[in-house]
Amino acid sequence: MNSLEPVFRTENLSKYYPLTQSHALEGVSLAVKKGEFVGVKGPSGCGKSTLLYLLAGLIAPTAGQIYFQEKPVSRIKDKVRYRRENIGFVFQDFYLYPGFSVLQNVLFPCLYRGIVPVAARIKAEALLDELRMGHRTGAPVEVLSAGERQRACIARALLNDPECILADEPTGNLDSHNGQAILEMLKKINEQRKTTIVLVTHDERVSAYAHRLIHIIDGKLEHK
Amino acid sequence: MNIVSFLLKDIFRKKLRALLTILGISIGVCVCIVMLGIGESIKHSFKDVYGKRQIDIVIQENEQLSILLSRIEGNVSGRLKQFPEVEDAGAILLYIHKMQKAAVPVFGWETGDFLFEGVELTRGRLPAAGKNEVMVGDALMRALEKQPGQIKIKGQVFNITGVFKSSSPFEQSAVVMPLEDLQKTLGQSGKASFVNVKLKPAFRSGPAVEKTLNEIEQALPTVTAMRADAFVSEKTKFIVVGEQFSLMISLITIIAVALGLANTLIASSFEKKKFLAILLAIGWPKLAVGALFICESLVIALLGGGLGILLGFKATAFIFSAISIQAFVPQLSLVFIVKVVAMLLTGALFAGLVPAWITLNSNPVEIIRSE
Repeated sequence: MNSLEPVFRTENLSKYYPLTQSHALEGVSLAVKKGEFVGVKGPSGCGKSTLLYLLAGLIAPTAGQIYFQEKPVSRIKDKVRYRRENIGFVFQDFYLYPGFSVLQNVLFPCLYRGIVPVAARIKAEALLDELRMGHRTGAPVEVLSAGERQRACIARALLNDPECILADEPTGNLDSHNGQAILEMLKKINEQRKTTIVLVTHDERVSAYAHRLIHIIDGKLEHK
Repeated sequence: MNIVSFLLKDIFRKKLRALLTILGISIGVCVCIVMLGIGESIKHSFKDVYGKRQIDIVIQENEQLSILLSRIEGNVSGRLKQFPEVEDAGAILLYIHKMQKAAVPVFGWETGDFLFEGVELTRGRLPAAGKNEVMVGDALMRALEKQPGQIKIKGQVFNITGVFKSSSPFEQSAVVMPLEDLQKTLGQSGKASFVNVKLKPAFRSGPAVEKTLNEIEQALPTVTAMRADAFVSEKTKFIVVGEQFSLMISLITIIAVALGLANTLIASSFEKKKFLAILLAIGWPKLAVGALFICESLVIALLGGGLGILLGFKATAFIFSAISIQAFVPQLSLVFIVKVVAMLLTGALFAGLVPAWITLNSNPVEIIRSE
Protein backbone atom coordinates (compact mmCIF):
# COMPACT_ATOMS: atom_id res chain seq x y z
CA MET A 1 0.00 0.00 0.00
CA ASN A 2 1.52 3.34 -0.98
CA SER A 3 1.08 6.54 0.96
CA LEU A 4 -1.41 7.93 -1.56
CA GLU A 5 -3.89 5.15 -1.02
CA PRO A 6 -6.48 5.92 1.63
CA VAL A 7 -6.45 4.01 4.89
CA PHE A 8 -10.07 5.00 5.38
CA ARG A 9 -12.59 6.07 2.83
CA THR A 10 -16.25 6.72 3.47
CA GLU A 11 -19.06 7.07 0.97
CA ASN A 12 -22.27 8.87 1.93
CA LEU A 13 -21.85 7.73 5.48
CA SER A 14 -24.90 8.26 7.69
CA LYS A 15 -25.71 7.31 11.22
CA TYR A 16 -29.08 7.68 12.88
CA TYR A 17 -29.59 6.99 16.60
CA PRO A 18 -33.19 5.82 16.99
CA LEU A 19 -33.09 6.15 20.77
CA THR A 20 -32.37 9.88 20.66
CA GLN A 21 -33.95 10.22 17.21
CA SER A 22 -30.93 12.12 16.00
CA HIS A 23 -28.94 12.04 12.78
CA ALA A 24 -25.36 12.00 14.04
CA LEU A 25 -23.88 11.87 10.54
CA GLU A 26 -25.49 12.50 7.17
CA GLY A 27 -23.90 11.67 3.83
CA VAL A 28 -20.28 12.05 4.90
CA SER A 29 -17.74 11.15 2.24
CA LEU A 30 -14.09 11.51 3.04
CA ALA A 31 -10.74 9.81 2.66
CA VAL A 32 -7.80 9.60 5.04
CA LYS A 33 -4.50 8.67 3.42
CA LYS A 34 -1.87 6.46 4.94
CA GLY A 35 0.42 8.43 7.23
CA GLU A 36 -1.93 11.41 7.34
CA PHE A 37 -2.67 13.35 10.50
CA VAL A 38 -6.26 14.52 10.16
CA GLY A 39 -7.99 16.76 12.66
CA VAL A 40 -11.78 16.53 12.87
CA LYS A 41 -13.34 19.64 14.32
CA GLY A 42 -16.85 20.70 15.05
CA PRO A 43 -19.18 21.68 17.88
CA SER A 44 -20.28 19.23 20.58
CA GLY A 45 -22.79 16.66 19.34
CA CYS A 46 -21.98 17.25 15.67
CA GLY A 47 -21.08 13.59 15.10
CA LYS A 48 -17.29 13.70 15.40
CA SER A 49 -17.02 10.82 17.90
CA THR A 50 -19.63 8.83 15.95
CA LEU A 51 -17.32 9.08 12.94
CA LEU A 52 -14.51 7.48 14.98
CA TYR A 53 -16.74 4.68 16.24
CA LEU A 54 -17.91 3.98 12.70
CA LEU A 55 -14.33 3.89 11.39
CA ALA A 56 -13.43 1.46 14.18
CA GLY A 57 -16.35 -0.80 13.31
CA LEU A 58 -17.78 -0.42 16.80
CA ILE A 59 -21.12 0.62 15.32
CA ALA A 60 -22.64 0.05 11.92
CA PRO A 61 -23.67 2.92 9.66
CA THR A 62 -27.34 3.46 8.91
CA ALA A 63 -26.40 4.13 5.30
CA GLY A 64 -23.26 4.44 3.23
CA GLN A 65 -20.05 2.51 3.26
CA ILE A 66 -16.70 2.60 5.04
CA TYR A 67 -13.57 1.19 3.44
CA PHE A 68 -10.42 0.27 5.30
CA GLN A 69 -7.52 -0.07 2.88
CA GLU A 70 -10.21 -0.25 0.21
CA LYS A 71 -11.99 -3.20 1.84
CA PRO A 72 -15.54 -2.58 3.01
CA VAL A 73 -15.55 -2.65 6.82
CA SER A 74 -19.10 -4.04 6.72
CA ARG A 75 -17.70 -7.18 5.10
CA ILE A 76 -15.03 -7.72 7.73
CA LYS A 77 -16.39 -10.63 9.75
CA ASP A 78 -13.99 -10.43 12.66
CA LYS A 79 -14.32 -6.77 13.61
CA VAL A 80 -12.66 -7.42 16.96
CA ARG A 81 -9.51 -8.59 15.21
CA TYR A 82 -9.77 -5.71 12.76
CA ARG A 83 -9.74 -3.26 15.67
CA ARG A 84 -7.05 -5.11 17.57
CA GLU A 85 -4.66 -5.28 14.64
CA ASN A 86 -5.32 -1.97 12.94
CA ILE A 87 -6.67 0.57 15.35
CA GLY A 88 -5.45 2.20 18.52
CA PHE A 89 -7.87 4.25 20.60
CA VAL A 90 -7.05 7.31 22.69
CA PHE A 91 -9.90 8.74 24.76
CA GLN A 92 -10.50 12.05 26.45
CA ASP A 93 -11.21 10.30 29.79
CA PHE A 94 -8.18 7.99 29.53
CA TYR A 95 -10.10 4.94 30.82
CA LEU A 96 -7.14 3.50 32.66
CA TYR A 97 -8.03 0.81 35.16
CA PRO A 98 -7.39 1.89 38.74
CA GLY A 99 -5.52 -0.44 41.06
CA PHE A 100 -3.18 -1.49 38.28
CA SER A 101 0.19 -0.07 37.29
CA VAL A 102 0.94 1.96 34.20
CA LEU A 103 2.69 -1.02 32.59
CA GLN A 104 -0.20 -3.37 33.36
CA ASN A 105 -2.67 -0.90 31.84
CA VAL A 106 -0.56 -0.62 28.70
CA LEU A 107 -0.50 -4.42 28.45
CA PHE A 108 -4.28 -4.89 28.72
CA PRO A 109 -4.78 -5.19 24.93
CA CYS A 110 -2.68 -8.40 25.03
CA LEU A 111 -4.24 -9.96 28.11
CA TYR A 112 -7.29 -11.39 26.36
CA ARG A 113 -5.18 -14.42 25.44
CA GLY A 114 -4.83 -15.19 29.15
CA ILE A 115 -1.13 -14.44 29.35
CA VAL A 116 0.96 -11.48 28.32
CA PRO A 117 3.87 -12.53 26.10
CA VAL A 118 7.32 -11.41 27.26
CA ALA A 119 7.83 -9.66 23.93
CA ALA A 120 4.74 -7.51 24.58
CA ARG A 121 6.07 -6.54 27.98
CA ILE A 122 9.44 -5.53 26.50
CA LYS A 123 7.64 -3.56 23.82
CA ALA A 124 5.37 -1.83 26.34
CA GLU A 125 8.37 -0.79 28.41
CA ALA A 126 10.07 0.57 25.31
CA LEU A 127 6.91 2.49 24.36
CA LEU A 128 6.66 3.99 27.83
CA ASP A 129 10.33 4.99 27.61
CA GLU A 130 9.68 6.58 24.24
CA LEU A 131 6.75 8.53 25.69
CA ARG A 132 8.90 9.67 28.65
CA MET A 133 7.00 7.41 31.06
CA GLY A 134 9.81 4.94 31.66
CA HIS A 135 10.18 6.10 35.26
CA ARG A 136 6.48 5.54 35.95
CA THR A 137 5.96 1.98 34.68
CA GLY A 138 5.31 0.53 38.13
CA ALA A 139 3.26 3.45 39.44
CA PRO A 140 -0.46 2.91 40.04
CA VAL A 141 -2.42 4.92 37.49
CA GLU A 142 -4.26 6.78 40.26
CA VAL A 143 -1.12 8.74 41.17
CA LEU A 144 -0.42 9.92 37.63
CA SER A 145 -1.01 13.47 36.46
CA ALA A 146 -3.54 13.97 33.67
CA GLY A 147 -0.74 14.38 31.13
CA GLU A 148 0.93 11.19 32.28
CA ARG A 149 -2.37 9.32 32.10
CA GLN A 150 -2.86 10.39 28.51
CA ARG A 151 0.67 9.29 27.64
CA ALA A 152 -0.08 5.90 29.20
CA CYS A 153 -3.20 5.76 27.01
CA ILE A 154 -1.14 6.52 23.92
CA ALA A 155 1.29 3.74 24.84
CA ARG A 156 -1.67 1.37 25.23
CA ALA A 157 -2.97 2.44 21.81
CA LEU A 158 0.41 1.80 20.20
CA LEU A 159 1.06 -1.62 21.73
CA ASN A 160 -0.31 -3.58 18.79
CA ASP A 161 1.42 -1.37 16.17
CA PRO A 162 -1.88 -0.12 14.74
CA GLU A 163 -2.18 1.26 11.24
CA CYS A 164 -4.19 4.12 12.63
CA ILE A 165 -4.82 5.92 15.92
CA LEU A 166 -8.31 7.23 16.51
CA ALA A 167 -8.10 9.92 19.18
CA ASP A 168 -11.28 11.27 20.71
CA GLU A 169 -10.64 14.65 22.33
CA PRO A 170 -7.26 13.55 23.72
CA THR A 171 -6.50 17.04 25.05
CA GLY A 172 -9.99 17.67 26.41
CA ASN A 173 -9.07 16.93 30.02
CA LEU A 174 -5.61 18.45 29.95
CA ASP A 175 -4.28 21.89 30.76
CA SER A 176 -2.81 23.84 27.89
CA HIS A 177 0.77 22.78 28.62
CA ASN A 178 -0.04 19.08 28.80
CA GLY A 179 -2.44 19.37 25.87
CA GLN A 180 0.32 20.80 23.71
CA ALA A 181 2.73 18.08 24.86
CA ILE A 182 0.23 15.38 23.83
CA LEU A 183 -0.32 16.97 20.41
CA GLU A 184 3.45 17.12 19.92
CA MET A 185 3.73 13.50 20.94
CA LEU A 186 1.02 12.42 18.47
CA LYS A 187 2.71 14.44 15.76
CA LYS A 188 6.02 12.73 16.51
CA ILE A 189 4.36 9.30 16.37
CA ASN A 190 2.76 10.24 13.08
CA GLU A 191 6.08 11.37 11.60
CA GLN A 192 8.34 8.67 12.98
CA ARG A 193 6.05 5.65 12.82
CA LYS A 194 3.99 6.81 9.86
CA THR A 195 0.92 5.96 11.93
CA THR A 196 -2.23 7.50 10.49
CA ILE A 197 -3.98 9.68 13.05
CA VAL A 198 -7.59 10.80 13.07
CA LEU A 199 -8.01 13.22 15.93
CA VAL A 200 -11.37 14.60 17.00
CA THR A 201 -11.01 17.80 18.97
CA HIS A 202 -12.21 21.25 19.92
CA ASP A 203 -8.61 22.28 20.45
CA GLU A 204 -7.71 25.17 18.14
CA ARG A 205 -4.00 24.27 18.32
CA VAL A 206 -4.57 21.07 16.37
CA SER A 207 -4.34 22.99 13.11
CA ALA A 208 -0.65 23.50 13.85
CA TYR A 209 -0.07 19.76 14.03
CA ALA A 210 -2.54 18.12 11.63
CA HIS A 211 -1.90 17.89 7.91
CA ARG A 212 -5.48 18.98 7.34
CA LEU A 213 -8.68 19.65 9.18
CA ILE A 214 -12.16 18.30 8.52
CA HIS A 215 -15.10 20.29 9.86
CA ILE A 216 -18.34 18.56 10.73
CA ILE A 217 -21.41 20.60 11.52
CA ASP A 218 -24.79 18.99 12.29
CA GLY A 219 -23.54 15.66 11.01
CA LYS A 220 -22.46 17.03 7.66
CA LEU A 221 -19.03 17.63 6.28
CA GLU A 222 -18.36 21.32 5.84
CA HIS A 223 -15.99 22.15 3.03
CA LYS A 224 -13.93 25.24 3.81
CA MET B 1 0.94 -10.63 34.05
CA ASN B 2 -1.55 -13.36 33.35
CA ILE B 3 -5.31 -13.61 33.68
CA VAL B 4 -5.19 -15.22 37.13
CA SER B 5 -2.89 -12.56 38.61
CA PHE B 6 -5.08 -9.92 36.95
CA LEU B 7 -8.22 -11.44 38.44
CA LEU B 8 -6.72 -11.80 41.92
CA LYS B 9 -5.54 -8.20 41.86
CA ASP B 10 -8.87 -7.04 40.49
CA ILE B 11 -10.84 -8.99 43.12
CA PHE B 12 -8.76 -7.57 45.98
CA ARG B 13 -8.90 -4.01 44.63
CA LYS B 14 -11.97 -3.71 46.87
CA LYS B 15 -10.58 -5.58 49.83
CA LEU B 16 -13.54 -5.38 52.19
CA ARG B 17 -16.03 -6.46 49.54
CA ALA B 18 -13.75 -9.29 48.43
CA LEU B 19 -13.23 -10.50 51.98
CA LEU B 20 -16.93 -10.33 52.83
CA THR B 21 -17.82 -12.21 49.64
CA ILE B 22 -15.19 -14.88 50.28
CA LEU B 23 -16.29 -15.15 53.90
CA GLY B 24 -19.92 -15.55 52.81
CA ILE B 25 -18.97 -18.34 50.41
CA SER B 26 -16.74 -20.02 52.97
CA ILE B 27 -19.57 -20.03 55.53
CA GLY B 28 -21.87 -21.56 52.91
CA VAL B 29 -19.30 -24.23 52.06
CA CYS B 30 -18.65 -24.79 55.76
CA VAL B 31 -22.38 -25.45 56.25
CA CYS B 32 -22.32 -27.97 53.38
CA ILE B 33 -19.23 -29.70 54.74
CA VAL B 34 -20.76 -29.95 58.21
CA MET B 35 -24.17 -31.06 56.94
CA LEU B 36 -22.80 -33.68 54.60
CA GLY B 37 -19.54 -34.33 56.40
CA ILE B 38 -20.92 -35.61 59.68
CA GLY B 39 -22.77 -38.46 57.97
CA GLU B 40 -19.79 -39.07 55.70
CA SER B 41 -17.40 -39.26 58.64
CA ILE B 42 -19.61 -41.63 60.63
CA LYS B 43 -20.04 -43.87 57.59
CA HIS B 44 -16.28 -43.85 57.07
CA SER B 45 -15.71 -44.81 60.68
CA PHE B 46 -18.14 -47.71 60.40
CA LYS B 47 -16.45 -48.90 57.25
CA ASP B 48 -13.01 -48.58 58.84
CA VAL B 49 -13.95 -50.90 61.69
CA TYR B 50 -14.69 -53.65 59.22
CA GLY B 51 -12.35 -52.78 56.39
CA LYS B 52 -9.19 -52.37 58.43
CA ARG B 53 -9.80 -55.60 60.38
CA GLN B 54 -10.65 -57.48 57.19
CA ILE B 55 -13.98 -58.66 58.63
CA ASP B 56 -15.99 -60.36 55.90
CA ILE B 57 -19.19 -61.46 57.59
CA VAL B 58 -21.25 -60.24 60.54
CA ILE B 59 -23.69 -62.52 62.33
CA GLN B 60 -26.58 -61.10 64.32
CA GLU B 61 -29.97 -62.18 65.62
CA ASN B 62 -32.50 -63.08 62.97
CA GLU B 63 -34.95 -60.29 62.06
CA GLN B 64 -33.49 -57.90 64.59
CA LEU B 65 -33.13 -54.35 63.30
CA SER B 66 -31.08 -52.91 66.15
CA ILE B 67 -27.66 -54.24 66.86
CA LEU B 68 -28.10 -53.08 70.46
CA LEU B 69 -31.08 -55.37 70.89
CA SER B 70 -29.64 -58.27 68.93
CA ARG B 71 -28.89 -61.27 71.14
CA ILE B 72 -27.33 -64.51 69.98
CA GLU B 73 -25.57 -67.28 71.82
CA GLY B 74 -21.97 -66.30 72.46
CA ASN B 75 -20.75 -69.81 71.67
CA VAL B 76 -21.81 -69.27 68.04
CA SER B 77 -18.30 -68.01 67.46
CA GLY B 78 -16.91 -71.37 68.48
CA ARG B 79 -19.22 -73.16 66.05
CA LEU B 80 -18.29 -70.75 63.28
CA LYS B 81 -14.61 -71.44 63.77
CA GLN B 82 -15.39 -75.05 62.81
CA PHE B 83 -16.36 -73.97 59.28
CA PRO B 84 -13.53 -74.76 56.84
CA GLU B 85 -13.88 -71.31 55.24
CA VAL B 86 -13.56 -69.39 58.53
CA GLU B 87 -10.19 -68.12 59.66
CA ASP B 88 -11.40 -66.55 62.87
CA ALA B 89 -14.59 -65.43 64.61
CA GLY B 90 -15.20 -63.26 67.65
CA ALA B 91 -18.40 -62.70 69.62
CA ILE B 92 -19.09 -59.19 70.85
CA LEU B 93 -21.57 -57.93 73.40
CA LEU B 94 -22.42 -54.28 73.09
CA TYR B 95 -23.95 -52.04 75.68
CA ILE B 96 -24.31 -48.25 75.66
CA HIS B 97 -23.48 -46.72 79.00
CA LYS B 98 -24.49 -43.21 80.03
CA MET B 99 -21.52 -41.43 81.44
CA GLN B 100 -21.45 -37.70 82.21
CA LYS B 101 -24.30 -37.08 79.74
CA ALA B 102 -22.36 -38.89 77.00
CA ALA B 103 -23.19 -42.22 75.44
CA VAL B 104 -20.18 -44.50 75.85
CA PRO B 105 -20.11 -47.84 74.04
CA VAL B 106 -19.04 -50.73 76.26
CA PHE B 107 -17.75 -53.75 74.37
CA GLY B 108 -17.34 -57.24 75.68
CA TRP B 109 -14.71 -59.07 73.62
CA GLU B 110 -13.81 -62.72 73.85
CA THR B 111 -10.41 -63.35 75.40
CA GLY B 112 -7.91 -63.83 72.61
CA ASP B 113 -10.32 -62.32 70.06
CA PHE B 114 -8.59 -61.04 66.91
CA LEU B 115 -10.16 -57.63 67.65
CA PHE B 116 -7.45 -57.15 70.29
CA GLU B 117 -4.91 -57.20 67.46
CA GLY B 118 -6.49 -54.04 66.05
CA VAL B 119 -5.83 -51.93 69.11
CA GLU B 120 -2.58 -50.53 70.40
CA LEU B 121 -2.08 -50.32 74.12
CA THR B 122 -0.57 -46.94 74.91
CA ARG B 123 -0.59 -47.46 78.66
CA GLY B 124 -0.97 -50.41 81.02
CA ARG B 125 -2.07 -53.90 80.03
CA LEU B 126 -5.04 -55.84 78.69
CA PRO B 127 -7.88 -56.55 81.14
CA ALA B 128 -7.97 -60.06 82.58
CA ALA B 129 -11.23 -62.01 82.76
CA GLY B 130 -13.02 -62.40 86.08
CA LYS B 131 -11.13 -59.56 87.76
CA ASN B 132 -13.44 -56.63 87.02
CA GLU B 133 -10.88 -55.03 84.73
CA VAL B 134 -11.40 -52.86 81.67
CA MET B 135 -9.35 -50.93 79.18
CA VAL B 136 -10.54 -47.64 77.72
CA GLY B 137 -10.01 -45.83 74.45
CA ASP B 138 -7.69 -42.85 74.71
CA ALA B 139 -10.33 -40.43 73.41
CA LEU B 140 -12.63 -41.47 76.22
CA MET B 141 -9.77 -41.14 78.64
CA ARG B 142 -9.11 -37.59 77.44
CA ALA B 143 -12.79 -36.73 77.61
CA LEU B 144 -13.05 -38.06 81.14
CA GLU B 145 -9.80 -36.30 82.03
CA LYS B 146 -8.93 -39.41 84.00
CA GLN B 147 -5.75 -41.12 84.89
CA PRO B 148 -6.05 -44.91 84.79
CA GLY B 149 -8.14 -45.64 87.83
CA GLN B 150 -11.65 -46.91 88.17
CA ILE B 151 -14.88 -46.68 86.26
CA LYS B 152 -18.41 -47.59 87.35
CA ILE B 153 -20.69 -49.48 84.96
CA LYS B 154 -24.15 -50.72 85.99
CA GLY B 155 -23.21 -50.11 89.62
CA GLN B 156 -20.12 -52.30 89.32
CA VAL B 157 -16.66 -50.76 89.82
CA PHE B 158 -14.02 -51.75 87.27
CA ASN B 159 -10.29 -51.10 87.40
CA ILE B 160 -8.85 -49.45 84.31
CA THR B 161 -5.78 -51.51 83.49
CA GLY B 162 -4.93 -49.98 80.14
CA VAL B 163 -5.53 -47.25 77.61
CA PHE B 164 -5.62 -48.08 73.94
CA LYS B 165 -5.70 -46.51 70.53
CA SER B 166 -7.81 -47.97 67.76
CA SER B 167 -8.37 -47.27 64.10
CA SER B 168 -12.07 -47.16 64.89
CA PRO B 169 -13.40 -43.91 66.35
CA PHE B 170 -16.18 -45.94 68.04
CA GLU B 171 -13.61 -47.95 69.94
CA GLN B 172 -11.51 -44.87 70.71
CA SER B 173 -14.44 -43.61 72.77
CA ALA B 174 -15.29 -47.00 74.24
CA VAL B 175 -14.72 -49.23 77.22
CA VAL B 176 -13.58 -52.78 76.43
CA MET B 177 -13.74 -55.64 78.87
CA PRO B 178 -13.68 -59.45 78.62
CA LEU B 179 -16.93 -60.79 77.17
CA GLU B 180 -17.86 -62.91 80.19
CA ASP B 181 -17.43 -59.94 82.55
CA LEU B 182 -19.86 -57.80 80.54
CA GLN B 183 -22.29 -60.74 80.24
CA LYS B 184 -22.18 -61.05 84.02
CA THR B 185 -22.57 -57.30 84.59
CA LEU B 186 -25.58 -57.12 82.27
CA GLY B 187 -27.05 -60.37 83.57
CA GLN B 188 -26.89 -61.86 80.09
CA SER B 189 -24.78 -64.88 80.60
CA GLY B 190 -23.65 -66.66 77.42
CA LYS B 191 -25.10 -63.94 75.17
CA ALA B 192 -23.51 -61.77 72.49
CA SER B 193 -24.83 -58.94 70.29
CA PHE B 194 -23.09 -60.08 67.12
CA VAL B 195 -20.17 -62.07 65.82
CA ASN B 196 -17.46 -60.83 63.45
CA VAL B 197 -16.16 -63.44 61.04
CA LYS B 198 -12.89 -63.37 59.12
CA LEU B 199 -12.69 -65.75 56.17
CA LYS B 200 -9.61 -67.49 54.91
CA PRO B 201 -8.07 -65.67 51.93
CA ALA B 202 -9.20 -68.37 49.48
CA PHE B 203 -12.86 -67.76 50.43
CA ARG B 204 -12.95 -63.97 50.38
CA SER B 205 -14.11 -63.59 46.77
CA GLY B 206 -17.75 -62.64 46.09
CA PRO B 207 -19.28 -66.05 45.18
CA ALA B 208 -17.35 -67.84 47.93
CA VAL B 209 -18.60 -65.36 50.54
CA GLU B 210 -22.19 -65.84 49.32
CA LYS B 211 -21.79 -69.61 49.60
CA THR B 212 -20.43 -69.31 53.14
CA LEU B 213 -23.32 -67.01 54.12
CA ASN B 214 -25.80 -69.64 52.99
CA GLU B 215 -23.95 -72.40 54.80
CA ILE B 216 -23.92 -70.38 58.05
CA GLU B 217 -27.64 -69.56 57.83
CA GLN B 218 -28.47 -73.19 57.15
CA ALA B 219 -26.38 -74.40 60.07
CA LEU B 220 -27.55 -71.66 62.45
CA PRO B 221 -31.20 -70.88 61.64
CA THR B 222 -31.65 -68.30 64.45
CA VAL B 223 -29.05 -65.92 63.03
CA THR B 224 -28.71 -63.68 60.04
CA ALA B 225 -25.36 -63.69 58.27
CA MET B 226 -24.52 -60.58 56.28
CA ARG B 227 -21.56 -59.43 54.26
CA ALA B 228 -19.71 -56.82 56.31
CA ASP B 229 -20.26 -54.09 53.69
CA ALA B 230 -24.01 -54.83 53.57
CA PHE B 231 -24.07 -54.75 57.37
CA VAL B 232 -22.38 -51.31 57.34
CA SER B 233 -24.83 -50.05 54.73
CA GLU B 234 -27.79 -51.26 56.76
CA LYS B 235 -26.49 -49.83 60.01
CA THR B 236 -25.83 -46.48 58.34
CA LYS B 237 -29.25 -46.28 56.65
CA PHE B 238 -30.29 -43.54 59.04
CA ILE B 239 -27.24 -41.59 57.87
CA VAL B 240 -28.28 -41.99 54.23
CA VAL B 241 -31.71 -40.52 55.00
CA GLY B 242 -29.98 -37.71 56.88
CA GLU B 243 -27.61 -37.27 53.97
CA GLN B 244 -30.46 -36.68 51.53
CA PHE B 245 -31.84 -34.02 53.83
CA SER B 246 -28.36 -32.54 54.23
CA LEU B 247 -27.89 -32.56 50.47
CA MET B 248 -31.11 -30.57 50.04
CA ILE B 249 -30.01 -28.02 52.63
CA SER B 250 -26.56 -27.87 51.04
CA LEU B 251 -28.01 -27.26 47.59
CA ILE B 252 -30.17 -24.46 48.95
CA THR B 253 -27.10 -23.01 50.68
CA ILE B 254 -25.08 -23.17 47.46
CA ILE B 255 -27.91 -21.46 45.55
CA ALA B 256 -27.95 -18.69 48.17
CA VAL B 257 -24.15 -18.41 47.90
CA ALA B 258 -24.37 -18.28 44.09
CA LEU B 259 -27.04 -15.55 44.22
CA GLY B 260 -24.89 -13.51 46.61
CA LEU B 261 -21.89 -13.99 44.34
CA ALA B 262 -23.91 -13.02 41.26
CA ASN B 263 -25.07 -9.89 43.05
CA THR B 264 -21.49 -8.94 43.91
CA LEU B 265 -20.31 -9.59 40.36
CA ILE B 266 -23.14 -7.60 38.84
CA ALA B 267 -22.33 -4.66 41.15
CA SER B 268 -18.70 -5.06 40.14
CA SER B 269 -19.61 -5.18 36.43
CA PHE B 270 -21.52 -1.90 36.71
CA GLU B 271 -18.56 -0.30 38.44
CA LYS B 272 -16.15 -1.29 35.73
CA LYS B 273 -18.45 -1.12 32.75
CA LYS B 274 -16.42 1.70 31.16
CA PHE B 275 -13.25 -0.33 31.49
CA LEU B 276 -14.99 -3.33 29.96
CA ALA B 277 -16.27 -1.16 27.12
CA ILE B 278 -12.70 -0.01 26.52
CA LEU B 279 -11.48 -3.61 26.48
CA LEU B 280 -14.08 -4.29 23.79
CA ALA B 281 -13.02 -1.18 21.90
CA ILE B 282 -9.31 -2.08 21.97
CA GLY B 283 -9.90 -5.51 20.56
CA TRP B 284 -10.91 -7.90 23.32
CA PRO B 285 -13.40 -10.43 21.99
CA LYS B 286 -16.77 -10.21 23.73
CA LEU B 287 -16.42 -13.81 24.80
CA ALA B 288 -13.10 -13.02 26.51
CA VAL B 289 -14.70 -10.11 28.39
CA GLY B 290 -17.63 -12.34 29.37
CA ALA B 291 -15.21 -15.08 30.42
CA LEU B 292 -13.55 -12.58 32.76
CA PHE B 293 -16.67 -12.66 34.93
CA ILE B 294 -16.91 -16.42 34.87
CA CYS B 295 -13.22 -16.73 35.78
CA GLU B 296 -13.61 -14.05 38.47
CA SER B 297 -16.57 -15.92 39.88
CA LEU B 298 -14.68 -19.23 39.85
CA VAL B 299 -11.59 -17.69 41.48
CA ILE B 300 -13.68 -16.11 44.27
CA ALA B 301 -15.55 -19.39 44.71
CA LEU B 302 -12.31 -21.36 44.92
CA LEU B 303 -10.89 -18.96 47.50
CA GLY B 304 -14.10 -19.08 49.53
CA GLY B 305 -14.40 -22.81 48.97
CA GLY B 306 -10.87 -23.51 50.19
CA LEU B 307 -11.47 -21.49 53.33
CA GLY B 308 -14.90 -23.10 53.73
CA ILE B 309 -13.45 -26.61 53.56
CA LEU B 310 -10.96 -25.77 56.32
CA LEU B 311 -13.70 -24.18 58.41
CA GLY B 312 -15.92 -27.18 57.71
CA PHE B 313 -13.26 -29.60 58.99
CA LYS B 314 -12.84 -27.55 62.15
CA ALA B 315 -16.59 -27.17 62.66
CA THR B 316 -17.22 -30.90 62.14
CA ALA B 317 -14.47 -31.75 64.63
CA PHE B 318 -15.96 -29.22 67.06
CA ILE B 319 -19.42 -30.75 66.68
CA PHE B 320 -18.07 -34.27 67.25
CA SER B 321 -16.25 -32.97 70.28
CA ALA B 322 -19.32 -31.12 71.57
CA ILE B 323 -21.44 -34.26 71.42
CA SER B 324 -18.78 -36.21 73.31
CA ILE B 325 -17.60 -38.44 70.54
CA GLN B 326 -14.17 -36.90 70.51
CA ALA B 327 -12.66 -39.86 68.74
CA PHE B 328 -14.53 -39.01 65.57
CA VAL B 329 -12.41 -36.97 63.28
CA PRO B 330 -13.78 -35.49 60.09
CA GLN B 331 -12.86 -38.10 57.50
CA LEU B 332 -13.85 -36.33 54.36
CA SER B 333 -12.82 -38.28 51.33
CA LEU B 334 -11.43 -36.66 48.22
CA VAL B 335 -14.57 -37.70 46.35
CA PHE B 336 -16.70 -35.95 48.96
CA ILE B 337 -14.65 -32.73 48.73
CA VAL B 338 -14.74 -32.89 44.93
CA LYS B 339 -18.56 -33.17 45.17
CA VAL B 340 -18.85 -30.09 47.37
CA VAL B 341 -16.38 -28.12 45.21
CA ALA B 342 -18.24 -29.21 42.05
CA MET B 343 -21.53 -27.99 43.55
CA LEU B 344 -19.89 -24.70 44.47
CA LEU B 345 -18.23 -24.21 41.08
CA THR B 346 -21.50 -24.96 39.30
CA GLY B 347 -23.13 -22.26 41.43
CA ALA B 348 -20.22 -19.91 40.70
CA LEU B 349 -20.46 -20.63 36.99
CA PHE B 350 -24.11 -19.56 36.96
CA ALA B 351 -23.23 -16.54 39.13
CA GLY B 352 -20.61 -15.48 36.59
CA LEU B 353 -22.93 -16.07 33.64
CA VAL B 354 -25.29 -13.28 34.71
CA PRO B 355 -22.83 -10.35 34.44
CA ALA B 356 -21.17 -12.08 31.48
CA TRP B 357 -24.51 -12.16 29.69
CA ILE B 358 -25.13 -8.48 30.54
CA THR B 359 -21.70 -7.60 29.12
CA LEU B 360 -22.17 -9.71 26.01
CA ASN B 361 -25.38 -7.85 25.31
CA SER B 362 -23.96 -4.40 25.88
CA ASN B 363 -22.75 -2.02 23.23
CA PRO B 364 -19.40 -0.44 24.15
CA VAL B 365 -20.25 2.74 22.29
CA GLU B 366 -23.44 3.19 24.28
CA ILE B 367 -21.45 2.72 27.49
CA ILE B 368 -18.74 5.17 26.43
CA ARG B 369 -21.36 7.70 25.27
CA SER B 370 -23.44 7.29 28.42
CA GLU B 371 -21.48 9.90 30.39
